[in-house]
Amino acid sequence: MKKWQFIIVILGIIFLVSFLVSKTIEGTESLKPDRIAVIPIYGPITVDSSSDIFFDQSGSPSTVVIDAIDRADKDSSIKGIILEINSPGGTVVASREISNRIKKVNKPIVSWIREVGASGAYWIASSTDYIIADPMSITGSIGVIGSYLEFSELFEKYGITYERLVGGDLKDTGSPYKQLTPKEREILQLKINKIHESFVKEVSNNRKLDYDKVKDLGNGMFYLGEEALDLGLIDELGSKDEALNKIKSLANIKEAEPVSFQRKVGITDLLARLSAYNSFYIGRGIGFSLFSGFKDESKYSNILKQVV
Amino acid sequence: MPKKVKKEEIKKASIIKRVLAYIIDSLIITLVVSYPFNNYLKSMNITLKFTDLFTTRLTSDLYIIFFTIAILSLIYFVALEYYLKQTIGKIIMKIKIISLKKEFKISQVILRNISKVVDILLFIDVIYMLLSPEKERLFGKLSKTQVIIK
Repeated sequence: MKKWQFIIVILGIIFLVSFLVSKTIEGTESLKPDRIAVIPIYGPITVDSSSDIFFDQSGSPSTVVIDAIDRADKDSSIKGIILEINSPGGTVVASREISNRIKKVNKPIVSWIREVGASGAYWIASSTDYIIADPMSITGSIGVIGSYLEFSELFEKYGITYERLVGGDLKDTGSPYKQLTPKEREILQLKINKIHESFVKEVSNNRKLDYDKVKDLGNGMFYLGEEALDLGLIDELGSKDEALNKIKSLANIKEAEPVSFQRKVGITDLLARLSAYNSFYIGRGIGFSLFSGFKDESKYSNILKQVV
Repeated sequence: MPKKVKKEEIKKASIIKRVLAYIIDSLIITLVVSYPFNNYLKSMNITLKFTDLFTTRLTSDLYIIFFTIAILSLIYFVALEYYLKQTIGKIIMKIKIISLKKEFKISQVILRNISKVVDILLFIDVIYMLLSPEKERLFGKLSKTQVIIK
């Protein structure tokens, strides 16, 4: 047998054995050990990550989080899920999408709030079976924010005027180049109130807390982990160890390997994440989606999105 | 089987050639041996990064995977070096192995390659090679084999 023929035969045999062993492992359930999926929810929670080249690729897009939950739910070796939360919140739709997906999971899910689990992130946490938070973490912040900067007087100072051309009286509601009319203000406030009410209702149902109590707590104030425990917003103070122990007890298993379901982060993601953190402040609230929702309707949406 | 090579014919392969040959062989092993396990490890969210070896708890499935990869990698080196005196990496780098004893036994080839599949032995082997004046691997020396220019 010639040299290269011999090499090809050896490589072929090795590949075949490797392939057969891998297929055998894939098909043998008993070989798969019990695992716990750890799904991170970091940074702003958005609907998806594909709208802008750089800056919208940060945080936790609901599509990515839901995909991770789907994979964990389908995988028979995954016995429970820990949501590792470190997020100031995000958009209403993204938070609701994740919360709704969590409710359909047939495995125990525990939220572990690290530094921040506020607003939309708390909404998500409230829909899990159990919430563990660090005593000094920031949680709650059940509120909606839709504030934004308005430049009309600044522009006036520099002789820049806003030429209003609209079809439909309310088309440019929320434009940063003009002041809100009383009617516009009333309409926007009503929408914010509606989102807030929905948020309070969700938390009240998820946590089985009295609606009026949650409404009182839901004034937008954030609570430290210790305070949140006293108020019934979380179940336990602790760290990852406590979260792992709790999920094991909920799943009735003694040993399980935590497996990170983290998406691969590239250098652009890291840069974008830094930028996004700067633009979000504590418990920023979920109301900015109210304005980013105008994206298709208003050319001012990008300005609004950044400053709201 | 190869004959014992006369001393004057031996021209030792440089450390760079040997390292490059090892890198080429490692790439081939990754493709042929490790790749079939890629889908399974991906579905389990496990990567075969060097750091993961220290952070991932070895469960029964991972034991089987790592053991299979180690054994098949050893077979690759032993089969090719015993029958051809060269691996693909060594063919490309135009180097080959010879026995410093009268005979060339399979046990010698196994011994010289065992460190390539046991990480702690590879670490010892590399440290020894870097420190030794003749730049020989410890397991190369123990097996009485040498890598020479073809």
